[in-house]
Amino acid sequence: MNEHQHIDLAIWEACKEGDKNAYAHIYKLYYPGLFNYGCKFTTDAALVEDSIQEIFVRFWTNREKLAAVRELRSYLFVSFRHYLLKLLSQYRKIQEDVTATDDYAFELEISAEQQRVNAEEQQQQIQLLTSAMRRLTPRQKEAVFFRFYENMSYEEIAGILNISVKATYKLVARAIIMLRDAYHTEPLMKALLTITPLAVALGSMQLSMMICAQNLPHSL
Amino acid sequence: MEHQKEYEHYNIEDFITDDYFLQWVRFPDAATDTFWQRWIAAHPHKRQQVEQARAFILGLRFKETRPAAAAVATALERNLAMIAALEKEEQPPTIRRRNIRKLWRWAAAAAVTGLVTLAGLQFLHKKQSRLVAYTGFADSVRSIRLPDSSEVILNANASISFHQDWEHSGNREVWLKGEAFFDVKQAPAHPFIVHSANMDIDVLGTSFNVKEGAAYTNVTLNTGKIKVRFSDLPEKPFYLAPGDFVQYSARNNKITKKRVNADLYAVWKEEGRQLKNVTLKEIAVYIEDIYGYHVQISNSRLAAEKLSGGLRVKDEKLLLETLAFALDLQIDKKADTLLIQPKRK
Repeated sequence: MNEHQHIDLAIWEACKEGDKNAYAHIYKLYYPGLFNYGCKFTTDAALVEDSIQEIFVRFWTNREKLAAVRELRSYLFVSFRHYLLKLLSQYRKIQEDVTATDDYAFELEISAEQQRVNAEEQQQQIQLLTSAMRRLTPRQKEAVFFRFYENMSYEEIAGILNISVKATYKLVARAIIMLRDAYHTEPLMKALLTITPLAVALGSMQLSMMICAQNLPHSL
Repeated sequence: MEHQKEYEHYNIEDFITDDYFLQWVRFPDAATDTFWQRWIAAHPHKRQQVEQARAFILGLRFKETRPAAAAVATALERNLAMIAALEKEEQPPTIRRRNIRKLWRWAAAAAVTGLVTLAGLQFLHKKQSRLVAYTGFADSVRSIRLPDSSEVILNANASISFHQDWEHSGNREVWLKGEAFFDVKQAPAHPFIVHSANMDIDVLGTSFNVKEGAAYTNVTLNTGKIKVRFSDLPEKPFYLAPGDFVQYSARNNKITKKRVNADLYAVWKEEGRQLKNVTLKEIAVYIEDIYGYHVQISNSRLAAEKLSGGLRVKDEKLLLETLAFALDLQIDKKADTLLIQPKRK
């Protein structure tokens, strides 16, 4: 799973000074996330990879001008988003700039794996959530993705989507209301409540450090 | 406290959109957990809403298309080639000039001394090749690409050094302190040697893990073939096959060799790396080697239980807690023995 993806200051400094090993470290850290994000816009994996290669080359060329390490992830996502959307619009022969409109696809699908609730109820929940997800605008989906998958702050999301922080907050809030309206939380709740003692037992343990035994529910 | 917002007026959506709440659900730590457990205890009528918000966040899981490590490595290789091509294009004059300057220096040296033997020249050259050192980061792993594009992953605080232009001297030699994982490019004409305090390791194209320390040095071979030569026991070289583990104890000058799950010994190098079907027995052996306990498992059925998933092995306490939780175990510590048994119901 993705975790907090922030790089060491030492790596950043080394990269800035031209250390290719530090650069490789940054590349390997962000490549999987960018690739996963890019595949939501298009099924053309080669196009996604080419775009990532291009923006990393630009990053290397411009690295000395980049202000701070905190902005690195945002910088990569912004330039990748911009580049990929531009390429896609060229392919679709659309003249206007799609980055300024909502005229692009962003497929955010609910995963059926790992949710080990009662199979039938789960199936129903996922279907409801999936159909609710389809009704969100691409921009709403992107905001939800950044917030709940990439665990980004509202400020960071605002920077990437090029809208105000307030608008970002509203975008996320509205999406959540739509998602929650569509699916009745009741059945899922019951199932999850029964495993609450596990969650409490976990206590201070980080979820990312969890190991899943094969005979236990994978849902936490 | 900063987080004493007006949470009592929050509805489910408010909780879901709150930073501090999300942080607790996704990455609970002692501080967030204490805060929220206390808050719920103090506001029992909000418990259901909190649970619903929590369930919603945990239920939001998306399909992922994350490339495998090998695909990332290939992409990186391509990217580095793109950059190299770009840099070559940009600055051919400087490179040429530098070479000419170097030539001039050699010419001048030859002129001054008049007679320089070939051996002398080589000595001079060797002296000029700088020793470069890389030190790992304090709390994360660092990967280093060697001049032959072999890869070394340094664990926290480890360090490695080598001669900058080792192409000229036929051997690829590195000096290691601490723990590192090696993935060595095959080049039979240029032997690859890892020097550590107590032993030297001769390598053929291969990947393996070395944990060098004051008391013990461990070597685990993942793929290929290596030869280990011990400084204090030069007459006893060891040949390792994949899955072999060799431990040298400096204190009593003793060598132990056995078969292990080599993946487990290299698991520290990738955060969140997924292990597949590791038995509790294998993990117990690992704990004995790394943390120095004697581990007893109460019955053989339990020893054969298998685990899959992301395992953080860096922290002893965390590793034991995770094991106990995942397999529902009771782990008791008595002096330097760990007794593992099923939890009594």
